[in-house]
Amino acid sequence: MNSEEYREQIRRQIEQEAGDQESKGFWAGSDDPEQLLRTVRDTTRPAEERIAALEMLQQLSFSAAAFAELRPAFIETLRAIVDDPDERLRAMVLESLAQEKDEYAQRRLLAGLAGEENRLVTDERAIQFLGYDIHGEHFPLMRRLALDAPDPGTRREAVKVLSSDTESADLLLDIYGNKSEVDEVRRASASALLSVDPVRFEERAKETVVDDDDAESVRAASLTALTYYGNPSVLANDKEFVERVARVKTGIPDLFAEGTSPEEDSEKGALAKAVRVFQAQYGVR
Amino acid sequence: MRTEVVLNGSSAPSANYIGWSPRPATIRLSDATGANGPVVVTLRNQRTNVGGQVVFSTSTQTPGATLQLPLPVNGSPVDFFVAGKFRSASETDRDAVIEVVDGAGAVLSQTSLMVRVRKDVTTLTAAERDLFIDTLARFNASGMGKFADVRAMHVSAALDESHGSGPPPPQFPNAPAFRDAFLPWHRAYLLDLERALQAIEPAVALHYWRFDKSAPQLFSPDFLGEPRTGSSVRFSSTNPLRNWKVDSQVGFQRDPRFNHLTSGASNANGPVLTEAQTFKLGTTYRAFVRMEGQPHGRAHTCFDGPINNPATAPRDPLFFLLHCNVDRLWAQWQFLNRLWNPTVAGTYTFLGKDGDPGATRVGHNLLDTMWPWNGIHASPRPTTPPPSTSAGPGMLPSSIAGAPRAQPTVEEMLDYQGQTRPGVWQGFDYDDVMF
Repeated sequence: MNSEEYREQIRRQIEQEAGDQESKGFWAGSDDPEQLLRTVRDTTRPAEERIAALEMLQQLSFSAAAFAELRPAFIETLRAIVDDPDERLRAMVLESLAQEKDEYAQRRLLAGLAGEENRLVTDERAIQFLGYDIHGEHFPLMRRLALDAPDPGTRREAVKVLSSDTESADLLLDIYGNKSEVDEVRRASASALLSVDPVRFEERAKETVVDDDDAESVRAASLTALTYYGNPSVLANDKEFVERVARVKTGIPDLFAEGTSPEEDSEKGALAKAVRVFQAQYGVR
Repeated sequence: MRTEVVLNGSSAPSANYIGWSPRPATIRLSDATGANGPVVVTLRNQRTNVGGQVVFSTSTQTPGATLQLPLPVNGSPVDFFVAGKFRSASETDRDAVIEVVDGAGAVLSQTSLMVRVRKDVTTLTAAERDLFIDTLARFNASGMGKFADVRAMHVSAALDESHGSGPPPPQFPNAPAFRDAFLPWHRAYLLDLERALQAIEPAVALHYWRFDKSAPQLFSPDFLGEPRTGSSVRFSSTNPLRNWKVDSQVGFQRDPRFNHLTSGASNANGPVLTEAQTFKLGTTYRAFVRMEGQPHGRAHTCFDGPINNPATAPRDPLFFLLHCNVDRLWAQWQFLNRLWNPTVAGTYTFLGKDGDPGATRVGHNLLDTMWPWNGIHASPRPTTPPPSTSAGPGMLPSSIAGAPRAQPTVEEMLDYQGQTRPGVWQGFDYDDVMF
């Protein structure tokens, strides 16, 4: 097929498939930003309609030449409805404000996390939103949540936020090594520790990888991080560790049979893949 | 008797990458033992049913699967062109092989190369997927890599350089408008990133997310992460992106507002425009660039998470696959309408430069250079350069393509294939956009 034939083929497809120029969704109003703002703010309207208007405003922020001029009114509108009774709208509003590094939203999110007022969103989400513009004064609360929050998702998100806090290295090391903590929080701790203290991460990761009693998913995540972000010359020269990684194979020989394709969501399969990638990287077979 | 084939003007292995655009090549007799006069050789694909396939041409011959050329016995090189055979791209590095045989069928040389193009993510092999995420993760280096520069190009203070097409709304009649470089700027942005990735792993290419189609593979723990409602994206234990760190934060949220397993992107306002609907936006650039809002802006806002805000969107690597599709749509629209040359009406809007009568904001006129590659960090350009540009501005060079220049203009980003300027190729092609 030459280029002209291909061009004609695509044109025919376009004519067959184009249909209506735009399928209308819930928001059937105009794209007038001021009308959209009024709708978002109007608590007498259905939440679905207000959410659609907010999504349209978000879309305009990618293209409207005048969105910068609209931003003050946009922020003001969102601030006015952070306590909206609709949970979904409230979360969208708070995320938009957090993305704009809005101090009022940050203050309200922190107050909810600290138990000083009712939570506007789940703790997990509040931490994510604060992560758009994390400040040093947030870290003590995040450390407390990383240790004590009853919900693992909250602990995981707090640990992730601490990836920019070098003073949390000891705490992250403890969580990473705590076998009674859930695996996903420990894996998040490993990632965060890698950021704040790569040397101590590397030491702990090596111990974890070769610890047959540890969770396989934590071992796999540790070895993957070592493979990609460890010090290559140090790792290549650490013959003892390379050999011990090789021995990890012997514990699960069936996973290394020729032609097998480990299921990566299985913990053992994940470790098998991590070992394979490590050995390919460091020239070991 | 032996022959030597040289691609892209260099015998270095790093030059052996091509796309659909014909690339200059030479062949010569490197060992003429036994030859008494010109030797007629045939160039062909070594394996016609495995790996990337190429086609050959000369200035007088149309592309074909084989090419016969007489080679002087004195070893002088003979010019020809080689291009990837459309729809027959490589899957692994150098899986295409140009074999040269003499009249008796004796093999005189074999040259390995890669037909490297940007692909639909749903068509990638596991190895291609892993190569992509591995390289991206290495470039990010858990927040310590050069990805920080890429991220710093798309922040609040820099959005005037890359966004804002369309007219001013009625209530803001004096607002800046018709900033049309949305597409050229992002083409340069993607290319700069792709070249940085290729400096780590030459076989990698950026790939694209067709946001009007379902792509469940993409939103999986082994690729760009599995969404979790109200939570951060989940990666498998062996996915190196699990250590992705941007703006001092490990991980990110990406919560689809649509069923990411069964449908293309949509939100409460409806689905993104389909590819066909996007092409129907119009046959002039000013009509087509309205795609900045829909489908581009719509695709961004089909998620909760950083990707739904222009200032935070590059925190999520999905940003680059989304934009790769935006660029592909523009490339296909250019192909359909033959609009690569700005002197052809409809190819671009304002053809002059900043300060000319009728010009729009600097950076958006055809002859303007683009920030940050131009190294200009004085108002009205963003005054905070990405970290690495403080050491020297400019787009990363390519081992296979001489274009664009280090400090590209808007104009240079239009004809990426060299359709109107033969040989001026930028080093990338899309799997479904023909030369």
